[in-house]
Amino acid sequence: MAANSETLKVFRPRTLAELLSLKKRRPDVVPFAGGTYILYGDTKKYPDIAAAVASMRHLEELKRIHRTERYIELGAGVTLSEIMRIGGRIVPPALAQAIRTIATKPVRSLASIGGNICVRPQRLTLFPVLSALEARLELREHGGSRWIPIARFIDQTGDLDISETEIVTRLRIPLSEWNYQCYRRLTDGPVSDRHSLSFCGLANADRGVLTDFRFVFGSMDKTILRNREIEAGLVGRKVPLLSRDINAICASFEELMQQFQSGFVSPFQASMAQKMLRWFLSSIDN
Amino acid sequence: MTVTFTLNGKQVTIDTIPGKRLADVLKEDFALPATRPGCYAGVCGTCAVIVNGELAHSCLIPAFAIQDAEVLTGEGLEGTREFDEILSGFEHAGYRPCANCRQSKLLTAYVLLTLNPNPERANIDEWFADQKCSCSSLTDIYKAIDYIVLHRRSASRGRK
Amino acid sequence: MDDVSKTFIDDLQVDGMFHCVAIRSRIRRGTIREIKIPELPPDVVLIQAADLPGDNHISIGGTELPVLAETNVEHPGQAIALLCGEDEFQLQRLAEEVEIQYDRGDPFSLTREFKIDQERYTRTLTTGNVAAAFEKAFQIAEGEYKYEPAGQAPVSPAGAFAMADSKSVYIATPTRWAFHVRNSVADLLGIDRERVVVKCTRTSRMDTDCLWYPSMTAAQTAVATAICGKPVRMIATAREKELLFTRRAGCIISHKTALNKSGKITAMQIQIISESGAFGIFAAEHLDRLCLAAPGYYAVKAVRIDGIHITTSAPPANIHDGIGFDGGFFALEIHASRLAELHDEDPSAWRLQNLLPERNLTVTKTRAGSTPQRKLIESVIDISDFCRKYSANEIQKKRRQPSAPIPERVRGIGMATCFHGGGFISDSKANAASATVKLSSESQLSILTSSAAVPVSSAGMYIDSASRILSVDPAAVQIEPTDTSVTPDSGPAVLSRNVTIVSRLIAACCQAIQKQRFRAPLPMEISRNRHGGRGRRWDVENFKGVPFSPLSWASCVAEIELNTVTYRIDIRGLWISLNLGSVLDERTAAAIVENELLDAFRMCCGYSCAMDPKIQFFQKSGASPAALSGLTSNVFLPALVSALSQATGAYFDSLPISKALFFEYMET
Repeated sequence: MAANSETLKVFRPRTLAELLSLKKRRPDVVPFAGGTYILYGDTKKYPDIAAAVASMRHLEELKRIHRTERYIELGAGVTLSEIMRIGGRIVPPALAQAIRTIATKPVRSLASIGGNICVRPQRLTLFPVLSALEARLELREHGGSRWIPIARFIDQTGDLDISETEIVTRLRIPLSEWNYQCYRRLTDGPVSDRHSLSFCGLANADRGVLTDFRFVFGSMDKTILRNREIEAGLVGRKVPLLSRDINAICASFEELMQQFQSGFVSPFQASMAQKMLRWFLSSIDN
Repeated sequence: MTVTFTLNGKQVTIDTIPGKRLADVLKEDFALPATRPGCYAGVCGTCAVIVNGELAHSCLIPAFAIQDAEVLTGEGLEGTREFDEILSGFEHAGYRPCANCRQSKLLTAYVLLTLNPNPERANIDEWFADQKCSCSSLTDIYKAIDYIVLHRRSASRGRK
Repeated sequence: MDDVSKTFIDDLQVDGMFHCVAIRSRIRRGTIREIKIPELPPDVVLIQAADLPGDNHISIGGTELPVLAETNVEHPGQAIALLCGEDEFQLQRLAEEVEIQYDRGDPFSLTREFKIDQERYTRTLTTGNVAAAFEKAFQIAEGEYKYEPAGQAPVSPAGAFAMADSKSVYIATPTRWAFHVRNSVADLLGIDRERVVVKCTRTSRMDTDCLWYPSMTAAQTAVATAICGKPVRMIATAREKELLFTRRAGCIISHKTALNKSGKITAMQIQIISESGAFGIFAAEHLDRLCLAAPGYYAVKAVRIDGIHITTSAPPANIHDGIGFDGGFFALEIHASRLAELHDEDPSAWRLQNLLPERNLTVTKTRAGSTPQRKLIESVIDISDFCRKYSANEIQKKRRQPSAPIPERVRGIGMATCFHGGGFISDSKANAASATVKLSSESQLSILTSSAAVPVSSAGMYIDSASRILSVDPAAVQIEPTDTSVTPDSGPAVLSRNVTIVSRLIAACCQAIQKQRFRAPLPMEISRNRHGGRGRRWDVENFKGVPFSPLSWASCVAEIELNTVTYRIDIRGLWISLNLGSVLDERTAAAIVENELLDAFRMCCGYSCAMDPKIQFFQKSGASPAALSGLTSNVFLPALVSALSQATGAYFDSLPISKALFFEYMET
């Protein structure tokens, strides 16, 4: 493995078309934008990277930021620092909160949004937030492209549903107005560990009635937890929510967690998830 | 592999191991001792350099990834007015980072003040708090930054 | 070898130099069954235990550490073999290809159920009639406290460089103990100690540098030089630093305390299990300091302390400033806060009530003199408004219905008080030191001490002191680089010896020069030595006397707010009062205190927290400076944990505090 630093094959596609063509010929080539997931925490002097990488730093097509009234579109190669520089009025606050919890400023200047969601072994920080925001992803391969909701980017087992020849090129994040947005991460340090849990909650209320509600949990394995039935059950209720409503939702959520508990979360994470949800529900219009 | 990039204003080309970290490239291939690799994990911050205008941990950047990039180290900024102001500010405030993290602290101050000429405490905390080498306290850093900001303000009035 | 004091070890290069990489154990404990080495290129040299010229060990604090493991592996990261060659990258690859097969043994841990094989050192102290006191007690309170601090990997480079000629072996390394490096290398190679010359390279923070590692790497590189016939350099990788440097000694302390009706302590029964990793280096120092700290400076007529130091299957611990006192005061001060609560009393009032009065006997059977402890406690509770806040928080806590959900944010305030001392207490020879000061004809002053590779604060202290005594410009005072062929042996730069021992020797040299400088011709050179042993003042065998002089003291109040959803602690207020005898530079001392607070919080909780501490120094003019490094952390951590206990209503009693621990203590 240590030989990778020396024998590493580096491709430098100059355009997106070249990259897609390369991926078709060499599906084993790893797209390398910031590379922070690969290198962060690897303390060897000569790090293990991969057998072959495609350096994406020069692909301007993947760094574009485009904004309309309804959404903001980010190229997969846009760094987390660049997203923060766009500004608070455009970037959803929950997304900005989530980005701020990731590592440090110098790391965020290298790390890309595409890299954050495309890590195979784990679902990283931004996945739950983008799930709650119902972002859409463009996946492209040579000769084709598709847009999918981020929820369909992972399959039933939590693995990424992306073929070897595809890459994520753009993310489209709806710019809906949310009265209440919140992101919280539970971890003992700047780097997530197996106890880590993240939560994103979004809610809208109009004239004392809850009109929209979403919540998503992510732990450090592959599972993202969101349940639309529970969410739908709250829409139309008066806010601030009554204790019995909150208790009912939390009870439904606990049942849901129990289904997942053995594979998804530890008792500790399950308890924390309950607390976070309860706290968010209590804070709506309160 | 061959890598060409701009280092401290000059275009350079080296033949190196593709996966070799930029921190080691700067130290070993270019004999620039101010960049100090520390943890090799992107955590301690002592290897910070400026890449394409952004502060970055050079231990997280493999050699192949700096093709066509602009890299600035402390050596490259020496002698510039802004950098000298920072050095002078540190000295006047009695802020003496240790030899190991000195460059990273200087460059962090440089980038922070370039982006935000009058940073608040919260901004300074955000930029400096995660640097693990706590040879000097945050109070010293606040004083140094305050001094530099004041000095620049009066210097710019003088220039007008 | 030229002057290397301004060069970092990883910048040191010479032509024809070999690199050296260690092959290390990946298991915690076991025996080596087989080592499979890949085919090595002709210019790569493999060195194993059987190749060592002398006895396969270095000696630290009375304990022998094998230079290379022969059969037994005692901790992860233990060096088993060395690979030397020109190409460092190639060596790293080869090292990763080495396959070692082990017969794994059960690893040793810090636990009450330790095995007899783990025992290394014991200490028992008794005073008064403990059994009788417990029989008559109005209240008995028990608590068990586990202290397993995480250390901080140093950011500055570590390693060693060795080269030899027909006369001498030259070693360059960043070390706090240059003469120990010299002696270890000489003894391993079987040569006269004067034939080994050690020079210190540049470093940044000394306190995170490992005390024993330079001696080990120097020994390994010296052997490599001897065998390869080339200069050899070995640099610690980031992984090695993380594995081998960060360990701090830990302990489990059980307190059983008898109280009378007024809440005064009548007896203490304390059990201590301490560890410092494999081999048990500095076992006696660690345990003895724990025993001193365990009862603190409280008035107790009957005390029994049973201490045992065990080995564990972890890398040998670094010896850090504050060792022993950290765990001891962590347990004691949290326990004291608990005792106060059990007695329904304000913790500050309880402490003031229980302080050792002047003229009473301490646990080391000496008369307690006047101490600043009372004044420090009163000052810190006054400036923090501790009593009012403590009561308010207690009322809030009691008003919470057991069935009601815990509020999103809860507050707590806690306090602690402790003392500190510099130098070794278990090995008097380790306190021996020498220093030399030279005044040239041009009034240039040179200070020679092997504690020269010091952080800015110590160097500044020496220069300030010398320039003041001799009325010379500080710019004319130079600290000579450490070179064991030139500088005298000042002992290890650890346990605040720079402040409490070396600086006094330098001052004594300067004072002697001052007396003679206008009568005797220049240049002038004066040396002063301190012999090991604390004389009649400290009897280590019987644990009697005055172990430290002077003591430093601190009291701290920490006010926190805990987010019960994310379990994140924020510091609302931090007040700390210190008495260090005299403080030469308050600004530098304040910076040391601030950094220690940040480091201690990070060590406890795993993340950083903004804090704006209010620091007060109490000084006594003419007093000698006392130990500071380690004092702040030792007083802050129990204050923090006590505040957390008040905020949550759960008794936190171990370190570190992870989110999972919150769950365990608050919800299960």
